[in-house]
Amino acid sequence: MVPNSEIMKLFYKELNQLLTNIQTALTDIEHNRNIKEQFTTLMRNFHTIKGNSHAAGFSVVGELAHKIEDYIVNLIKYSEKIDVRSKLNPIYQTFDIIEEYKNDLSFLQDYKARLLYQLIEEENINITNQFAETAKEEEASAEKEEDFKSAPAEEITEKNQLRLVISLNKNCNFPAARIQVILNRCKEWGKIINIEPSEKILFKNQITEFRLTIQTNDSLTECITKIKALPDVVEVRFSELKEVKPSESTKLQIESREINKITDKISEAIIEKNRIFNITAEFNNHKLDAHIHKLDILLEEIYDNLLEVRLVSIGTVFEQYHYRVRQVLESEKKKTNLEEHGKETLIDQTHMECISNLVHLITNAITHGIESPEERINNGKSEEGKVIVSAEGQKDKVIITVEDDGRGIDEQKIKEKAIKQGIIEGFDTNMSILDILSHPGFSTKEDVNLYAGRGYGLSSVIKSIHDINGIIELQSETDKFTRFTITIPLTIALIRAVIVNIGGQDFAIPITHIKRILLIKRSELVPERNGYHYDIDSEGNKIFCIEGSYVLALMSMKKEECGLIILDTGDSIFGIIVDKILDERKIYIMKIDHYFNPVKGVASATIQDDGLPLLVLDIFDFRKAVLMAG
Amino acid sequence: MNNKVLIVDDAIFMRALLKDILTNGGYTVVAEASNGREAIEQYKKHKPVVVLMDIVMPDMDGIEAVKEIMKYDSNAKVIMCSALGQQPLVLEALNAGAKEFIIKPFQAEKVLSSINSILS
Repeated sequence: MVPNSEIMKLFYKELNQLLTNIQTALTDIEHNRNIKEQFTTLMRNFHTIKGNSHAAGFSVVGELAHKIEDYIVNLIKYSEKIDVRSKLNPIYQTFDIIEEYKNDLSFLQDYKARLLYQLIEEENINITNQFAETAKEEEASAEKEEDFKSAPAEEITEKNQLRLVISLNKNCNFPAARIQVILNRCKEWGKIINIEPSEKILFKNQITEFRLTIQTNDSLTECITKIKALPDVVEVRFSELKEVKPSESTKLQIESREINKITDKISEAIIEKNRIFNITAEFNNHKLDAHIHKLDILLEEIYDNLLEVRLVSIGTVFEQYHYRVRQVLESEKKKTNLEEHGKETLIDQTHMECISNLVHLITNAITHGIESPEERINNGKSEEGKVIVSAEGQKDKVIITVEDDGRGIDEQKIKEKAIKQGIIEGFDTNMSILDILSHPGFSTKEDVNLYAGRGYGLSSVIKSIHDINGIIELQSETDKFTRFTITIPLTIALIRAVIVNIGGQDFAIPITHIKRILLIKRSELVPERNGYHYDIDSEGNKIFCIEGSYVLALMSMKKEECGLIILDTGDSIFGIIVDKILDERKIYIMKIDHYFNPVKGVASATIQDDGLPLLVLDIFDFRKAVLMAG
Repeated sequence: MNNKVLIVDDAIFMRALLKDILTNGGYTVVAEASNGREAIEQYKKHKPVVVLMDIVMPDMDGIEAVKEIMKYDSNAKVIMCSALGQQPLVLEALNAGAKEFIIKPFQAEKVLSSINSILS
């Protein structure tokens, strides 16, 4: 049976979830947490992959999952006797290969899987051989006991007892279970006195012919007819069921895209409510107002609940890092310890992708930051390097830092290199080290010790942080440390923003980037190149400012009284001159669809209470403009 | 005739496949559950004529669920959905009161014929 495409979509969606579960379990095992439980989780998830894959027609994957399931069962069996964590390799390899083809399993070639089958089987045999001796002994003693218990019951001469020989289809699956089904059915109309051979033997040897003694009021013919209608018969052994611990409530699998849809709808509902409120305010109807107020509270509550659903602890992402770190360490032959702090910190589910992207910072830290063990000892450091990832929640934002105690980043050298390569003109540049490092033209190939390859992952990290209105900062001291500090808003949909007016139009500026808001006079600004300087304090600190209208290509009245929004993007601080500062409020961000041409200076939009759109400024566009103007 | 069926499996994909087979075979899937605990709830709520029960599930496995369902309704008809290599578990379930078993990957005829067999 070939499942239809709708069902196949489900297959892949679920496969993704199963792989994530496996990854989480693997990292838990690495951390030595509830090893037994995690192995059971591994087994269960591979088991589901096995079943699903076979049913979907991917027998190669099904077989592979089957093999690894057997392997895991074996590990569980001997978990008391061996260090199971040293036996994870086949599991990782199986995970990797399925992960690699998780978007289309039909691309997974037979020979690749076959190589892996062999590996798993060899490992499995190794483990079994290692413990076969002790296992056999145990089994033998168990068997003796059993034999003693099931001594043949020889009272087959009583009334109404029928002794039947029953044969099963030799190719039937689970003959023992089949026999059990038959027995159960027989019990509905008779009493089973004896079965030969004994249950134990039947179960062990896949026997398809057995004898059954049954006490019944039915005639022989009736009995034979009834049994013939089924497959066939056995003894009943009462087995204690294992205790299943109740765990927490069932988890829903919701895609963040679907949550976003609901969030958008609720945001719209709140806007709609505000409109109604504006209209009814004129009526002076207290009853109506009271109900609208109730509705208001309800919507807020729904929004808050939804926010809670969106929030996940950052630890689940951190755990994925271990796997990559392990891979990098293996290839780099370096000793590094990854420390995590603040794993319970909550972040928006839609930020997960960005956070998991931070793994580039960690692998870079190991590859380029941490020195070789010899070099570290020479420099008076401990042989083992350290990478610390920590997260901290603060009201509306989350701060994540990635720090290593490696060789640090030599700013001077980087700038020298950048000048040589023509990326910057002189040391007195507005470009930050982060800008240079992530510049596509910047390369440190000749000097591998300096910062090789960091740019590649770094630019993708920076982009994903900027995409969610976050900022990234870099601090470093040569031979001491490198620290990236990332600040992201707690949730992407609802942000606090300051509303300003530029050239007669209102705009929102996310508060995460705002350092200070000042009301100034235009005459206090000192023109410089394409912008201005403003004395920010009495100590002579100046800040470079740019006209908001200049970036947005709008006409400003340039009145004497104006506002200055001082922004901090992590690597630079600058000001935007606005005509008016209006308000500060929570806004619901809606992404502008990709089929609109990107508008310079605008990142996204929100809908105001009056139904009109409000554009949200793209701070990074402004930063670019400042770099050009300054 | 009452032709209500309850499908219990933690794999969404498996549930969809079974639903397809059952619907084409003239049965009505009244509910789906993704673990044993839900299965018991749904059973009490819908009183299906047949339950298709997966064995390996999180929270509460299929065997425990069969046991509970049998306690609630000794006439319940539960068919275990097993994967290859799970014979001991199927036996455990049969001892606990399950009436039949089918083996994954499912063949539509086998699924339907085993339901018919326990309903006759």
